[in-house]
Amino acid sequence: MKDKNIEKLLSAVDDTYINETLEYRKRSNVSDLPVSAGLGIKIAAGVLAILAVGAITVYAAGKLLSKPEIEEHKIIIHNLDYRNPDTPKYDWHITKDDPVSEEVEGGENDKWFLKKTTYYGNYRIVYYVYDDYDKAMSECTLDRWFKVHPGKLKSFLWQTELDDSDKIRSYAATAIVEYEDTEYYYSEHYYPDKDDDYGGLQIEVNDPYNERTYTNKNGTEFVIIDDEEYWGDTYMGVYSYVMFSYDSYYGIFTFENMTDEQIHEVLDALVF
Amino acid sequence: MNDDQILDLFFDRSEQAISETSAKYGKLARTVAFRIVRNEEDVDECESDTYLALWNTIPPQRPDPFVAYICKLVRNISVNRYKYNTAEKRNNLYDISLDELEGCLRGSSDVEKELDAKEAQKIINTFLKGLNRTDSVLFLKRYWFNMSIDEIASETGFTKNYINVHLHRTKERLKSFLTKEGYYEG
Repeated sequence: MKDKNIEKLLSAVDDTYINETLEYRKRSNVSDLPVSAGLGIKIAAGVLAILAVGAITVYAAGKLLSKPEIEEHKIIIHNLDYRNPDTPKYDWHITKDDPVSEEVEGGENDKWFLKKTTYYGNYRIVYYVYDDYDKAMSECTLDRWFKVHPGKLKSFLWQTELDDSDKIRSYAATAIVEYEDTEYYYSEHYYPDKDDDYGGLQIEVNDPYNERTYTNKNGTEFVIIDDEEYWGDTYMGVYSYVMFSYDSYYGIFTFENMTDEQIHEVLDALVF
Repeated sequence: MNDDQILDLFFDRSEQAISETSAKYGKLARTVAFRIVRNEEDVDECESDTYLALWNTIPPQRPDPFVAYICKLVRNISVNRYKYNTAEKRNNLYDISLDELEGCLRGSSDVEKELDAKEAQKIINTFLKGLNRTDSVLFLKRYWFNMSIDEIASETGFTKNYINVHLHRTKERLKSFLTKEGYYEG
């Protein structure tokens, strides 16, 4: 195909796709992690997206969790509390200009070491970064999922997303934990408004496989899914994902090149 | 001023329409143009030509979304100016991204079908519809807006490797799509 044809194809792109590209900004906390703070930028290897779909449940003795579904290049988790699919959602308006950010370093009396507020179109995201889980959980309003993390907590970021009327639309936390010679990381999301909640979340992956279940010491069943990760042409190994939801909470765990025994140790430590 | 108000000014044939468009979208238009022509003088020309084209086409058109319409106009004007300026010289990021796409799509046959505008519209938009949102956005940022991988990484928060992997997969999907539709001989 000659480049004349390629240019013809590109010139024929519909306005809707151009507009979507202009308005696209990654609305997860991943992009907002400060590089200057020396933190790894991780959540799940994939991209997080909000869904408007129904729920499929699986019974677990310890906790009722929704079961993830696999689609082509995607793992999806549904919200058990999703009940108002027709409720009009907040009209997120994402500015086309670069977002404005304010950054403050924590003082001696602050438990966090960094606070950042980023203003987008008609919403803003405020986050705090901690290096200690107990300090973080003394201020973070999300459920505490671990008594202690297996491994060493590297960073914990807690964020709130507020609309232009100062209503909190979502809470989220991202933790990165060093574990032996590798890492695992997870994000915890909560959508407080039951009448304006979402149907689920999804992450984009490569080719998910090897779906299996594990029931932890507290009797909660988890689904573990593997995916082979490449960065460019470089093979990064097997990343394992565990996703679940309950009561408008979502959890997404990513385990980098960890054995099932190591993953089980982490899942056994979950205390929610 | 919102887009509807600016469009009303065009319909009223008020020259304020141009200044308001420039204030709101001038920077974006210049960025789109610069990624193609890479020359401030040409960027000025492309921007002015875009406002003239808006003035000449609105009314009767009332584009929605307005911003996408501006981007399309400024991109077309910039591509034409770039072609006019450079003739056979190929040394620009616009060429690099186009070559990247062409390299992936080039078939074994020397005789290739030239698309008409209607076919092109059907092919590209059907293809984009089949992509997930992230892949579609990454594809257009790279090949439509001619953004570098660094720029995309900075704007989206994805790693450069992540972007490269996804662009590679999208190009492979485009190749299979064109093969299936009979526009490419692999």
